[in-house]
Amino acid sequence: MLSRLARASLLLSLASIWVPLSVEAASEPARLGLTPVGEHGPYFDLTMAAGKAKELSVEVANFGGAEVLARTYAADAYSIVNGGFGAALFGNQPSGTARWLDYRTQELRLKPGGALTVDFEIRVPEGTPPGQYLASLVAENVEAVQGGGGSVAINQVNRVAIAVAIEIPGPRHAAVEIGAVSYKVAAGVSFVSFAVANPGNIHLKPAGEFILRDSARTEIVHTSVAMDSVYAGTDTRLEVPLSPPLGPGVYCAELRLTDAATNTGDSSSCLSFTVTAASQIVGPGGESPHPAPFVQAAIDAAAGQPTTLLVVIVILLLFAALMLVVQRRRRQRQEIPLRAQTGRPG
Amino acid sequence: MIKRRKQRLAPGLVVAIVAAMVIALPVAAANQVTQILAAGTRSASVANLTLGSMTTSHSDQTNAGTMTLTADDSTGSNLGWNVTILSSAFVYSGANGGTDVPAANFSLTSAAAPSRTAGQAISGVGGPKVPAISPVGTLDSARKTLQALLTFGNGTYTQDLGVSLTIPADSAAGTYTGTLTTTISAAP
Repeated sequence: MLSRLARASLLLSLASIWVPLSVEAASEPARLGLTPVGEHGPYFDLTMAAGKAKELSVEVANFGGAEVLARTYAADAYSIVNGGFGAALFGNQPSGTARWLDYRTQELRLKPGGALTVDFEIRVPEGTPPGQYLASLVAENVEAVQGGGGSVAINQVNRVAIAVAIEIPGPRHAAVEIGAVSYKVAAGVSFVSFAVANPGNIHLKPAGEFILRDSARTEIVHTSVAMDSVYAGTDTRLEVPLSPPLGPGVYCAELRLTDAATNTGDSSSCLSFTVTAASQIVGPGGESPHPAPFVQAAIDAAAGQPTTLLVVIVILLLFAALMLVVQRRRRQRQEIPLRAQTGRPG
Repeated sequence: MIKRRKQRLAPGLVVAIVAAMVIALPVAAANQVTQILAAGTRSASVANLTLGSMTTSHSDQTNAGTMTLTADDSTGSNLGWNVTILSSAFVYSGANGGTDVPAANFSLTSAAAPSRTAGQAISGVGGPKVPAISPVGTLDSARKTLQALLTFGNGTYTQDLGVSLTIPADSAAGTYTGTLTTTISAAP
């Protein structure tokens, strides 16, 4: 029968195999699922009156082959560039419709095949006007999947997001507004960008025409455009890529959009913009806060991925120390019977 | 003696009864077989990102690369999906006092038509497909690169994406680490 110390050393040697595998598991993209419970369809599609509340449930599951530390949270929904569903990133304070959800942000450690049901309540505030509203629920991996080494490294967060769509019965009014035009260049492609807003109370899918003219008002681009959903109460941009970039000069662009379902639309005049020789994408730039030195070391370690090696070395050192203790105890036990035989102290 | 025999017989009798039930019940239910198929999930991730190393320079440098997006819908719901990608700023780490590279310097430069790996065939109408307006642009905003409409996209698909990172002139030597967020979503 194994002694206690021998059992401990066996467990420790097994741990030295287990721990590095757990660390390495973060290299596999997360496959999380987020499924409404008791609802038809892949997202929540609710009809509620102002002032009413409803209890809902969603299942968060791990469909991947490795254990995942998952995070689930409620987030604002918005219209992405060129239309479509976007869910705000973790860390953004929910506002608007997302605040109707009493959904606790939590981190869950899910084994492969594991799942957890999260109960929450949605409460439409009293006096909310009729219309279509949208929020989102998100599940993602807390520990970003580490990218490769080198001077540029890209880590990855894999998210699954579902909408919480709420319809409050009452009069509907559809509206789309075309705003200012702008121009930018990035990676050898230029973009003419229009602000597009939906100040109405129903979701739209505007489509239409984009026309670009030069300083002589000669048409140089004429193309059809079709946006995905521009959600009620949101604004976004329509970006039309042009390759190669425009040469320096004065141009104007016009946009006509119509939502076929509601026959609502807007059109702009030919809005002017100037392309200079220095027209380049300008990011926010500037200084960003640098992390504290000990955090910097952690970032360096993560970027170079020596974490796994460090853990293995520590485990092996502990194992070696344990074996020394075991051997010393054995020697002591052997010395005791010897003293018993001779009757003399060791 | 009789008591011992009874004691020996009792367990045997129980085993016999249980065995009889095990044999009888399936026979009684032989007319109906039920298989419940649990739903899987949707997932999206990128892999094989290639962005070469760069050396410091007094001019802006553009580093082009590629990555492969894999989107999978194993829900069996046939209700469609959308995939977006979004980048964070590239945070500097090193000993030379460098500055983060803004997310707007990382661009999607191309989005190829998807290829099917498994499952439902690709439809020119229903997808999966690249959105009508090309998604190329700066990745400081979420870009939808792939979508499947209702009743389409019930499978696994890959899509080659071209990317480009512009490193500003006189950037410090070190490592620049960004986080790419891929999101697969279901929404109206």
